[in-house]
Amino acid sequence: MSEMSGTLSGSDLARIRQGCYRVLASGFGRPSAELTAQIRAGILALEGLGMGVFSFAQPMRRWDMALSAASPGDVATEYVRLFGSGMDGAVCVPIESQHLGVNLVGDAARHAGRIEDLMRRSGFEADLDERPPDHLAVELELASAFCGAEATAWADGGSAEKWLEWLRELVDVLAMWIPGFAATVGERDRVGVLAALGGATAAFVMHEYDIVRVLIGAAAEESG
Amino acid sequence: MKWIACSDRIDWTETDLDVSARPGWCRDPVVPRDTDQVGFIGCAEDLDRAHLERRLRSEGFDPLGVPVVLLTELDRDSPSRMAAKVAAIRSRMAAYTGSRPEHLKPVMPATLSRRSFLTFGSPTYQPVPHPDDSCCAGDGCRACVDSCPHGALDWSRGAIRHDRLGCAACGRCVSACPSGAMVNPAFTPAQLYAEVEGLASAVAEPFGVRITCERGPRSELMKDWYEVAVPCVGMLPPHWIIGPLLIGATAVAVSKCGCDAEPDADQRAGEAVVFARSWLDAADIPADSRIVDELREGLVSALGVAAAGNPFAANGAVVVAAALGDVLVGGVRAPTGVVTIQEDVCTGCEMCSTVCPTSALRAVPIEGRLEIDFDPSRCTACRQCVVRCPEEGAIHVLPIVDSVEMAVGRRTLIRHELAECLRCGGTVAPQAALARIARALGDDEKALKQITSLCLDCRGTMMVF
Repeated sequence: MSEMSGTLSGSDLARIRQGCYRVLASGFGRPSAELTAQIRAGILALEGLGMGVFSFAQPMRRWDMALSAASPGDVATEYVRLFGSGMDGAVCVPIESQHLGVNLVGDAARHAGRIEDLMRRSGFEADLDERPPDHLAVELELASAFCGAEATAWADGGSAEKWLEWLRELVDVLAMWIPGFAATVGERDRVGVLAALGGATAAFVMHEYDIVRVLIGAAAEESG
Repeated sequence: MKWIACSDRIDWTETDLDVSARPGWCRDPVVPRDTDQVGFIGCAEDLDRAHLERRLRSEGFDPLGVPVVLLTELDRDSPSRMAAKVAAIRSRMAAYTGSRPEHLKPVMPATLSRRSFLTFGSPTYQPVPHPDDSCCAGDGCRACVDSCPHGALDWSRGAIRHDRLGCAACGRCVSACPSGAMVNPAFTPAQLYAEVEGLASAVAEPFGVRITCERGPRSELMKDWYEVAVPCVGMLPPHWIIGPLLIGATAVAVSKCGCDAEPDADQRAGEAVVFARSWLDAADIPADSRIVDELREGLVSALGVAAAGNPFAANGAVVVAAALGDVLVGGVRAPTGVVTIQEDVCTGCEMCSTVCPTSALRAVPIEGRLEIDFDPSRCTACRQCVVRCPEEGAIHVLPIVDSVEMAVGRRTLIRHELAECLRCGGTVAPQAALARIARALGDDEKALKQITSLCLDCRGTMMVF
């Protein structure tokens, strides 16, 4: 991106967003020294791509600083406490149906089904290991894949509209629960890394909520 | 705070500012890394605000927390006026409390490049109001939704939803919210208060405040007059117009909107001015010399009355009423109200007290009775109780500033006898509500008997067992 000219191509924009989704998805993986190094390298690469001009850059940097200050062991303990076992009543798992569901049994299936249906329609398949399809990391990875396909479409001069529409479908639901989830994690995290991760995710998702609409409008105008 | 100023046409040493003069800085703003408290003074013709915003963000600054003053906003011939303006802006910035992602609306204009691929201007962000869930009254109050002229706010599933892209940041929801939950980080009542207070502490002589639209064109100011910008003059309630007079200004003027983004802004501002004048007149303060149409020289001395609080806050009308003393003045733009309930129509459903965002209306069950009481000093005349009441004509709000009523405080508006459950002795519902149900059910005596004689729990138990 050219900062002086103040412009960036649709493809570059999609690549930055793809990278953000990917890095944030990694943040919801089990913490380790290796993963921390990968995430920090990812954030550095995003800075190189021009992430700095976006409003979510500052929360991403705060996450990076928190990662650099904390020991991976402490983060791993906190990860289990908040996202796993729920010791001290602090559980706040990053799973959509746990936050949006009313009837947990039925809702877990409904939310997982929604993501699986989205994957099937868009031609993606997840290697889910132990994570449910409505786990935030899976959703962010799927969004990252959409952005990758969108970037290719822009670069080839084709229409990115269908990828953006699928992304909107995903982000609309994320925007309903991520801010509340991030606030809860922010209150309960004792180390600061997961709180910063929550803040960065919320900032990025809220930004996506708007920017995807802006892009859909622009894409429709171009093709129309 | 350290200031970086562009122009070489001003001798900054004559001002009382910590200024680093860097002529030509506007054309290529370099943001210092060695300070977290910085402000900029730039040329209107050279300063590219979007570019500066990107630079600030890249360097880790929050652009909303960094003051930018244009040279055109400063009276270069008067170091004292310049210092006062800068002091006011610094004071305003000190009241800035940060923003959340929900407050930033991305603006990315799309263009077609030579190869016909889409290219976007890199983003700038327009700060927009967003409800703060921690103090939003919720429970059905939709004062912000009702006030939005752009349809950007909606009430869905028990929560306010905000379409940021549709929001024009006109600020009407900010001044309409009775609980101060609508927050635009770039413009808060606390910042407005701080700015006027900053002027008052920096200016020794009597001074006037012209309230103007931040998006509209600026015109020349007379000596002794200072400009204070709000998102749109259409958002001004009457007590915001009186507010500066209670913080130290000796006169107030409201400029025309000028930006044309809000077609009815001038009409609304005009109505607010008329009411504010009536209020001052009712308080035996000659309004014509205090709220003026045209800026004038030779300002009168200060009012001699101070606000014991922030007149721009959610309860600002009460602050102003307390400062101005005994008045009785009514009109559609009155910022406070008096509620009355029609005894023969009200069924005691408690909807009014549920939706009341300031708890001016409160339902209190006491020993077999339900009382609905009312505190005039909390009522902002938002009319949510009237709009949400299911019984037409049961509740009325008289838009009026009545300081005697306010002084009386909370009082009971209506008492309903509560029907007792024949089985457990608990509460079924107010007798008036049961009478209303009886009218609706007509001849169905069996259903009527069950509904009116048993409480909800007992009815449920009987159905199960």
